[in-house]
Amino acid sequence: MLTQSQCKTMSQCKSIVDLAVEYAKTKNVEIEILISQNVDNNSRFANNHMTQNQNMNEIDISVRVIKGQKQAKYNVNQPSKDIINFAIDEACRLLKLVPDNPAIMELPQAQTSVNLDRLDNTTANLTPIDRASTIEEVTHIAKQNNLMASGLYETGSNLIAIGNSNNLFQYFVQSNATFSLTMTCDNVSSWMKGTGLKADKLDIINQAKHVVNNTLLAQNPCDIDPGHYTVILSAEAVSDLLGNLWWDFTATSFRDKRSCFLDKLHKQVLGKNITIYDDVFNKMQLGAPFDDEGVNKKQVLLVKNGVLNSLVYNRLNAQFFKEEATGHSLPQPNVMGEYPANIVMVGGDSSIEDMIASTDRGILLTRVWYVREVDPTSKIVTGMTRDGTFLVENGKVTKAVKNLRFNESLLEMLNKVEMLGKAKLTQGEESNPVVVPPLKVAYFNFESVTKF
Amino acid sequence: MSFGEVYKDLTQMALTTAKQLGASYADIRIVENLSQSIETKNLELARINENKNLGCGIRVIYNGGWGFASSYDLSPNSIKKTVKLAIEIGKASSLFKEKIQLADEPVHKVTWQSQYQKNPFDIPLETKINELILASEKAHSVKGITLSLGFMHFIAEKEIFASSQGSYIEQHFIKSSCGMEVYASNGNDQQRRSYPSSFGGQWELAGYELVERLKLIDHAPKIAVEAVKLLEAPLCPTTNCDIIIGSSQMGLQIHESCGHPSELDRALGEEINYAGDSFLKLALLNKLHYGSSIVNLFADATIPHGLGSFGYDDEGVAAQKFYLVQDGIFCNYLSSRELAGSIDLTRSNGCMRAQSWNYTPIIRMTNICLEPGKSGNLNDLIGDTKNGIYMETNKSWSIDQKRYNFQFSTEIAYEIKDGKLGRMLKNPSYGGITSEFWNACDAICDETEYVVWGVPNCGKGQPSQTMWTGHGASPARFKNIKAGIAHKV
Repeated sequence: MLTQSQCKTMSQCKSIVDLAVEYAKTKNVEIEILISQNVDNNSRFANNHMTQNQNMNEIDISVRVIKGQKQAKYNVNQPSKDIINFAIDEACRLLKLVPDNPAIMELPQAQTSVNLDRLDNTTANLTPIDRASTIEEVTHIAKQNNLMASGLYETGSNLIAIGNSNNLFQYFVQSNATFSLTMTCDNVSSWMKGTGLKADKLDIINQAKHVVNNTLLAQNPCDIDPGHYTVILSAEAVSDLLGNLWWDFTATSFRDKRSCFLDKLHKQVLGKNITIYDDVFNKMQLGAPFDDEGVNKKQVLLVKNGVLNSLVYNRLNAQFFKEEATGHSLPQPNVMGEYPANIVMVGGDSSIEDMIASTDRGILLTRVWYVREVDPTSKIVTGMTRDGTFLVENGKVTKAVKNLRFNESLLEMLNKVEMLGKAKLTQGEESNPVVVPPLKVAYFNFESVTKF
Repeated sequence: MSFGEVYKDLTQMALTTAKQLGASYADIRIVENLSQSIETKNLELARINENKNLGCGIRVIYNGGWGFASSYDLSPNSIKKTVKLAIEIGKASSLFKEKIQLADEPVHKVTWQSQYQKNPFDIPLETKINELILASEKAHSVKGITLSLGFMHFIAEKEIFASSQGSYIEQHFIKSSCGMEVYASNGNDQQRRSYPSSFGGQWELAGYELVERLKLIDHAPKIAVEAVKLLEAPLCPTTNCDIIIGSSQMGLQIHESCGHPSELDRALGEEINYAGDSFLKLALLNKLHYGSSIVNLFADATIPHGLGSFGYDDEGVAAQKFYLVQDGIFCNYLSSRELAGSIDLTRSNGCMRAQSWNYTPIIRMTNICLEPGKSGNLNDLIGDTKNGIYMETNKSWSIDQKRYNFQFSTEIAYEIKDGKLGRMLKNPSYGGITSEFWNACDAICDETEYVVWGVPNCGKGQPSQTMWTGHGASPARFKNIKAGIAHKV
């Protein structure tokens, strides 16, 4: 029986933290220990065969020491007492060399731990043979339809634990499963991606059959003129587009005068049908109920009916803006400050089919790609469509079209949302997992067309 | 004892265990990485962080299937367990296998060291912090600057590669970087200027001499003034015109539109689920007019300070130089030992690289460079241009998944009128189709303008790996290109 790598247990992490805190006392410094571990088993396939198959097990132990107005940090990846003491010694060496920084805060106090049960042991312990068997089934479906299947099946677990000199200790472990699939035939393709805590909830075989249908539908894509179109965006496309907006909801982006929402707090910034939370407790969400300083996360209503309602604040910026910390700190010190990592955008009750049926002429997008910000103030982003772009005419999908480049302002886009679908946990290929709905958006700007 | 000597017995034990368990091929990489990061924000030290990281990755072929497992625990028991796990994974892969044939490579038993003059870890921390703080002070002395960020990163990396075919390679790398960004905001607009390039400054396989050469303090006032002026500058017009692209932006243009599409795994469809495939299909090899006749693009992992340089790649193949595009014709791919045979190469050209010990290597760029031309320096090229736009320093980049349709924005641009630089323009952008664009190249500056730019964050693979690449480039001119496409005027 094969024994796969496992994440450290709570007692193992607590022991590491206790030893480090004790050693730090002998050095007369305050200390924070942040432990993160990722056990990632991933099987990659292409052209209907396995191309890469890995077990990755990485651990990072970050030691932050503070004395007065100085702080320094040293990271190691060996969880032994000697190596962690070495890290503390090294951090103390750096501490003597750095200038004072009056902004440095005392470490947070102990928190009342919140339990979120997000570990599925079956998923965490899925074997290479388990993953290979599923992939073989998917490639069989592809071969039956004269298609090529390529993709990734990734399972495992990850933990975050944090403790400090003020008796704070927090521990969280979760399982994770991701399956993404591209089916290809000649020069066209279709794609899906599912992610979550449990492998058996990904519905891989049914999703694969759906991808087959879309690949067959995507044959013989036609030329289309660029211009403004109504678009129907999959939740995955929404995820990759709006991933460029989330940092603008942070206090640091305001303090640095980089947010597109500057001077717009409590003003109407998006359409009245847009409401967005950051909410780690949402049943569809993933992740730990505390931030990277160990502070408990709060549900934050970022946008209410289009009005910018609040930002997320780490402790430093909460003090600066005279607000309460919301539990969104990135590992400190960090020039980016904080981040809303658990976005939940409230959806509606329209299905993709409803959106298609209500569209006279528009474009249905499966996936967007290489989305990059080109203007931080107007929040124009550019990117491409890929893996299934379809023309909608008179309420029906009529044909596949060649892929297009867009230049679209996210602020404008969220002011012209005509229909919202049911929100779901989703993850594009270049964004964090978020809970967002599919959207129907008017007058979306396509700038050019590519050759396929 | 040297790093290589410390782990020699352990690597041999791992390879022997793999063979005993039935592997037809095995290799092991042990990597130790020491890094130092220093970041300033405005006039304060924002972060000082050092990191020491050690681990091993073991790759096997079992019954025709690849298996890879990794561990941060280098005890003999852990190594044996990791080998067994790699074998189990290889067995699973062999359920639906393609025959794996590794191209021959001579056995190498060698130690390789990257070149540097001043070990950055010997330079006092205070010296480095002062350089960044002084540069920030210079930037903030310009009225209108609302934010400055400064950064230096240094890496000392030791790697061992040992294979069941007998190679034992020890490599030592010193990597250095520094740069700064300044921002100006007036509430309605924000503009950024970076030096010497954006998204991390300049990176080289070099020591602290890189920082001394770049002279951040001297350049900070210039980019600060530019950032403030950009707020009031007119928008880059939407027009078709001749454009001259600055050296660092050319580096990214090469990276995205030549480097990635010439990766053989992409062309064969192995990357299609994530980073995409390539318009450079095998049938186009030695046929496609990728660019105009003055366009010569090459891969060279032997450039002394290129960020994509090494002695041997992560499957033990010696560093090489070869053309990807010669006299405008597409003529080669970046390859691996497994895939070289698919284009009738008898030897891999050495492009397999892994982010660290815990990733299996995949085909990556090394240093992908545009050969300097014969059009003099940048002033000569501007002087030779009747009407056009000069653009420099990348601001954003995007390209389709086959690497045809691209759009780039740069931080700053200037009109060119009658051979002279005119008005500053803000929010410049340009775009096109890769092969049409490179065929529109009619002039490339000479070696006096040539810089090998380091890109530290190239993303590819699943799970995504980041990689160090280098791109040698001089400014170049392209005829009748779509400009000003991101912001329509």
